[in-house]
Amino acid sequence: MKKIISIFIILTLILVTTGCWDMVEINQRLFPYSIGVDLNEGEGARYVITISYPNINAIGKNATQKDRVYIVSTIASSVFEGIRQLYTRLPYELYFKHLRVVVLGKNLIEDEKTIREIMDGMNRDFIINKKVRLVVAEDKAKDLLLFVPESKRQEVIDGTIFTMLRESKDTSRYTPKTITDFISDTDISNVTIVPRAIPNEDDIKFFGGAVFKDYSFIGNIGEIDNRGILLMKGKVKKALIDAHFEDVSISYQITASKLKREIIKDGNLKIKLKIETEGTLEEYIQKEKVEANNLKKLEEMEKAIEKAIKDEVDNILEILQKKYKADAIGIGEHISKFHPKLWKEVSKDWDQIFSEADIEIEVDAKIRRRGLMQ
Amino acid sequence: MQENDKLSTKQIRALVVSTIVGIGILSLPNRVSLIQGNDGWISIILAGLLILPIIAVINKIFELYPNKNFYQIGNQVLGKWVFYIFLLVWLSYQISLISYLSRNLGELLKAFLLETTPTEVLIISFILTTSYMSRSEIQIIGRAAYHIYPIIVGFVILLILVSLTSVDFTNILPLFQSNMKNLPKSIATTFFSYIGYEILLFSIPFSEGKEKISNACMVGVGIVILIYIIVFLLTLSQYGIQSLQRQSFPTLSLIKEIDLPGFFIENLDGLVMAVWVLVIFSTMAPIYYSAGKTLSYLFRTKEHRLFILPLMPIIYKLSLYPQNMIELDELLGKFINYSGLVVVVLMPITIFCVGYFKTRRDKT
Repeated sequence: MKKIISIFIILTLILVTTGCWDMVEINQRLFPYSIGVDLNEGEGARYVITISYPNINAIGKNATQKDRVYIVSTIASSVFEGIRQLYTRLPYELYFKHLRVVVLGKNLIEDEKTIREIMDGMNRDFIINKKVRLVVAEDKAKDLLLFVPESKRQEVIDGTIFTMLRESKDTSRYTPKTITDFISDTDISNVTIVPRAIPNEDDIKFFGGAVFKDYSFIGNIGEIDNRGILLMKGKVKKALIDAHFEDVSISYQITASKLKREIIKDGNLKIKLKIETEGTLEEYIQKEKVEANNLKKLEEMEKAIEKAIKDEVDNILEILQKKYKADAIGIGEHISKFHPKLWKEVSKDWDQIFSEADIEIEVDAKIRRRGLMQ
Repeated sequence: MQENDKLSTKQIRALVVSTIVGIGILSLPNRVSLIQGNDGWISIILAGLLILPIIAVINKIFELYPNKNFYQIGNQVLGKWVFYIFLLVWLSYQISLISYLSRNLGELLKAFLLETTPTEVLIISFILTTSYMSRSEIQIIGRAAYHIYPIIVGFVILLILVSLTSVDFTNILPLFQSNMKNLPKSIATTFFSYIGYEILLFSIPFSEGKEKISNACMVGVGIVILIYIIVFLLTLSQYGIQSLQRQSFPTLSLIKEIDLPGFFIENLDGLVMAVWVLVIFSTMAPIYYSAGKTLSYLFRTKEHRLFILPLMPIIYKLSLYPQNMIELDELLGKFINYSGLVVVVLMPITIFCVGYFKTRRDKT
């Protein structure tokens, strides 16, 4: 009798405990790559939410459909409200674990409150991956996303925008920013820079950045400026510098850069930034005689390169100090970490002190290799 | 051959580690940093060091009265009524701690893994699983802990490996800039993450090699301190102090940050939640067991397993009583903190002091 009862219990357990009663097949889920957020300029609610996701039926050998990317858009009062609204128009559920990119529209970023709202929503959500990349569209985020299918080179699996952001880690013309980076940059130095994106003829171009100070947009910087800022942070991994040397232009490929900061406090704040770069000579000029072969010549070249770098850096430093009053080069962070006592004095009106600080740039460029030619 | 009804020193060490490491590992960095800022690691170390003398005291108690279990000692030393008061506080502490753990687990599992499963079902099934374990004797719990212990250590090692690519260790700076007046408060907060070592009160009488036990316990606490410090420093250097103060579960968020080159490994939070369930299980089972033991002493029964299932509805009701996570911390968390001080600090010390003088008097 006991045996029968226990067998019966086991059998009922099989009925009750196995199987996934709420399982979802992978093709019954939509995995959006990117969300675009714009302010609504027409009638109705506040935002225009645009979502793009891959069409799984168009991938692979036996693709049954042609459109590779689907883009849907709606007007809503918040990002998550927009997602809810889209559920009523889509066949399956949207699942945001693999969201890669958030595109912010031009008209949206000028309002501090909206940026704070979006950041908080993204960060608070359990599902959204915190490595989502941020991009600022030069015009409307919706237009940028709508342009993606027209772009010639497409990446269906990961999304075109994300692939470009991920694969171009080496460039110094823009710096990819994740949500976590955005928030921790703002926490630490109150300033962060998000790459800008613009639809080009038949592709999408990323460049420079939009400068955010305390979550509000204060201005744009170009791609060369971004490189200057990276040099002042010591974070350049690869960059090509053009310098004038004896009537020709020489190209210098930076392969590593280092930065030393020195803070001197007497009366006015004095900061010395020493930028050290290593690199190779990429291009000089074809001559009959061997020229790039003696040390003296190389030293002269290094001088010319140093000057080119210094000009570039000085230029953007001037913009940051005088125009934006934004410490995007991590000096405040450095002081707060290594000179905490000084930081207690200056942190209160750091923006003002930064803009008046005497920042001296010193560049030390080394040509380590000069290629195959002598 | 190893005796089957004895706990080896290795098992005791594993029991200490797996019982102490619990809820705290997810939220401790945030709690400490809110009070102590960048210097939270100081209070983690200090709170850990404060535990060591208490563990020494617990060991001494069993040296004073060998071959007796904790209840007999307490009864003999403190007298029936005083010890009963302690036991009642202890019982309420145990029950609220179990409820606190199961509610926390239910809420987090619902948020991260099982969105559509009701919290009630999660809590009931978890309490049921744990009750099965806690019906067994301490030797078996010790053996289970011995197997869960490598998982905890492995989890921390994994955490270090995967986050090394993205952390910025300068975020730990500046050192020693926080207000040291907050230190007592932050130690009190950290202390909450160290409770659970009272399981030694049950396990020491069953251990083999009595002279090595004290050492094993100390090593166990040392490992816990190390784990907490590693987790704190990693989360701090990943997020910087302000972001850390905003994250409610920084350790989990740290896992979500993983972005290894080749992007083969990402979105590991599901896996980590699964490991974390084991961690909570290994914390809850010994405490559930000790609640059963306390009740069986109060009612003078031989078996503690009689009381495990009847405790279930009480724990279930209590765990569902708070409206949300904040209220859970306000009500149960605070109660556990204060009653924990009485039970795991005051009780062993009182028993030891009184017992010490009594045995001296008896000798002379």
